[in-house]
Amino acid sequence: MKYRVSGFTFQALIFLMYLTAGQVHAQPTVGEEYRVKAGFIFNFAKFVEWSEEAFEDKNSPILLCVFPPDIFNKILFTQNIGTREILIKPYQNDEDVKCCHILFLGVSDKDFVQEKLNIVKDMKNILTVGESEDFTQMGGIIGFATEKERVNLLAEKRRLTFDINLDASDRAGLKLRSQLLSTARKVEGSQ
Amino acid sequence: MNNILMRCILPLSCRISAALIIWVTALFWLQSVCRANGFDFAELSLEELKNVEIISVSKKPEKISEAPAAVFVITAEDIRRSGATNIPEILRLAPGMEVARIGTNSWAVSARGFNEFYANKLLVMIDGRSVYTPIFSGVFWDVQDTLIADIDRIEVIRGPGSILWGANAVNGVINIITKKARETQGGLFTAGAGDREPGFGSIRYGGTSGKDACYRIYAKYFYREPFDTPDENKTGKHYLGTPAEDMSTDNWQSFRGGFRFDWDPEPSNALSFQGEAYLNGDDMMSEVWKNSRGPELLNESSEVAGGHLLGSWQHIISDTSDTVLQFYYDRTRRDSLQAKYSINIFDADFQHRFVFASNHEITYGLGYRFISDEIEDFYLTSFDPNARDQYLFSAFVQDEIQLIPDILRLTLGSKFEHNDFSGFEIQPGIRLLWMPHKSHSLWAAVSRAVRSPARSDHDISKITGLESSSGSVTGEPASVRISGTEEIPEKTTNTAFDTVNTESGSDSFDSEDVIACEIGYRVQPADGLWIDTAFFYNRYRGLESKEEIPADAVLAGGKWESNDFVQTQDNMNYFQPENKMEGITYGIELAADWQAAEWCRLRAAYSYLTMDMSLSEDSTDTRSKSEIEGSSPEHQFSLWSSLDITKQLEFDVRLRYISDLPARNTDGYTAMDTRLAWKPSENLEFSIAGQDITDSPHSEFSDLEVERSFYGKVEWKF
Repeated sequence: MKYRVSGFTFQALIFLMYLTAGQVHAQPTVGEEYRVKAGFIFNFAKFVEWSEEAFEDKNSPILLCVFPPDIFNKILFTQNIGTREILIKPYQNDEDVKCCHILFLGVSDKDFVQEKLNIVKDMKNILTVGESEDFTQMGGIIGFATEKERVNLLAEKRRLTFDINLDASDRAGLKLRSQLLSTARKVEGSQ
Repeated sequence: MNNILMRCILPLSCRISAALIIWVTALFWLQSVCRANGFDFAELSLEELKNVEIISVSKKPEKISEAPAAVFVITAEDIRRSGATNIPEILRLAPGMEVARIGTNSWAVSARGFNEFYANKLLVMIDGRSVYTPIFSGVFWDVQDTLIADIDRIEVIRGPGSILWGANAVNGVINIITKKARETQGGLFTAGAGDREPGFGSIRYGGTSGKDACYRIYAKYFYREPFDTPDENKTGKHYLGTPAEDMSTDNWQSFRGGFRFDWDPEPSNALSFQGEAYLNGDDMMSEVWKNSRGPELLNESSEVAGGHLLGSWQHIISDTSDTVLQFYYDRTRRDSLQAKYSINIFDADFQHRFVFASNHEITYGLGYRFISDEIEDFYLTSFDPNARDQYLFSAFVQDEIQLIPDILRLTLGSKFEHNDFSGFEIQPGIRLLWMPHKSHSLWAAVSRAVRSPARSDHDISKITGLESSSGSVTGEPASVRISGTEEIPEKTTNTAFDTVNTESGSDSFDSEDVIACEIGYRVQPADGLWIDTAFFYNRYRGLESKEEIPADAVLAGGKWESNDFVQTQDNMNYFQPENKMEGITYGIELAADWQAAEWCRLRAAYSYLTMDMSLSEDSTDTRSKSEIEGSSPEHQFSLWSSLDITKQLEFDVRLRYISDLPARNTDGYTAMDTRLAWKPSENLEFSIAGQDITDSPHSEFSDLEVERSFYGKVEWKF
């Protein structure tokens, strides 16, 4: 009798495992800052339209240049956007910028950011993403912002949101879809 | 022999190998399903991503590392990986905390000394609700519980936290904060069993109601076995006073359920409403003296029931100004050998924070608490009056001044409080934080805090001990101790006690106070390595001492006349609490946290404590000094290694050494806890935990010998 019960529990457990493994994974509610930012950037890429001349062919990858070069070291995108992969390219020198589709500047130094934004200012088809203060006012297209929620006097929780500068995206010849605009905290510029 | 082989072993091995095959296939299949280490956040939508809380790589919340106090945060992840099943055991994770098990369902918990059953210098809050009992001053740990998986964080503040939290935060504050309902969406089922815990389980479900509101409901049950079976022949364990029982023979079961509802109608307003109800029971075995002829074995089932309702409203006025208004009602009814009472607490708090002249962040608050209790006479203890209403009014103001923005910060403030026993109390503090570099911070603080008298200090009268003088039947002079640690001598049926010690409360007993000086230094010498040090020097005045007083001076002792037991005694000694002890404590606390690799994290902590108490010249107290000095460990050391062996397999080992407690007759001991968990998917976790797995049973605070125990647990999110 005892055996039958344990055998049953055992099988039930296995069944449970098969069942749950197939399910949608529970959503994490906490994430390391740059893993979450990478998730955002992937979603940005989904809702941005590059002009055709930005890519060699239908299957060529979207190049994501990142500075500091090691900031996305641990990140690997497991999905494609349509037929395109996203490749992470560490930003080594200013020449690299030319072939980028997305440039992410993960630094807070405003002078440095301005210098890099000036380099890409006249280039087409580069989606600039940054996290420094006033990134969008300085001519960047999408700027991350942190929203703080107070837990108590000692602690607060941080979540990410983003602002968009449409004038800057127009200058770069990029079209941002409504899904992106509707989730942004602030949309500046006209369309 | 053959028979056995045929009938038992062969079928069994077939079963085992069949089982193994299924398990291994399942394992491989699941592994292929599961992805690479770390969640790929690209799978979430933008809306979902906006709800993810971000942490920096160092895993230290920024605000905490800038706190000018000895603050340590136990995160939900730490709790999960520790394998601890109750809040006192979780508190062992914080450096410098003194946690010692007294019985199946009781712990002595303190920081920076003064540990005892009712450790009265540590304030404990759960979601802003004080769980410090106003009757005995201390915390009944047996009822402080919730769904462990729903705890978001536990902030452990060593040293006075009285500016913000008020009286009794003398040596520390524990802030237990549960997750918001938004963070506990979906279902969670846990169930487990072990040798000391034959069954425990919990279920929680969280959902949304409309666009802006989230809720969760939960229920939890556990049963824990006694450490020892009751043995009628066991002698020498006859406690008197509080707690009056043999701690090792209690079992413990608990049922609780609750809810939380959070509603954010607009970004500037957040409302939260939560409630919980619980019922705890245990069967205790104790030997009590009902008369002077000897002990009687008493079995008593105790029952503790209670619950609370709490509502809070957070309103954001602007980027630089916000307010919080909070109300709660809390009820406890305790019916046990330790105490029999019911208590109702109503509390209202208001807090406003705003930025003034760009470099001042001012926080002020007002508080009101109404406490109404009714205490029955229980074993040799009574309160006069039986019922009492108490009112507590408080206000605080704190100014955080950026002397040099982001580099030098000064925090000044004070709490003003009025209670019915000691009157008006002022608890000021000053703190300075210097951050010369991003990875270095140095802080210093001086503060005053008080432990205000509890109902028991004021109104109690109880028999605390029996003595047999040299002329009595046993012929051995012996004494009995007040707080239940010293034993009455070996029971002999002929023992007669001719002296009774009684203790009564005193109107003139005043607050105990401390001036605490602290210095701390935090450094991040390399990526992933954190070192936190704190040094403190505390000067206490007016500490409680038990003074013998002449019989005619007894105020609250009138009750004894109706007690047959007492009337028959020739010799009565009367004791009263007075403030005739002073003391100095100092110590150092070190903690290091090293993320050696992504799969390996090591944490170590060491704390050193010296306590030096002195009684005033006219004091007759012969006990308190050695009892206080000898009840907190001089050295504590702990080491915790957390390994991710594979992406689905976690292994944790925690080692702790606690030095001896002379007043409790316990030797220094080293204990080890381990946990192995397998997460076949994000939704499912199996774990096995072993607690105190080093060979020898050890005593931590009482005669109770804590033994090795194991349990297995499954956790399923749906």
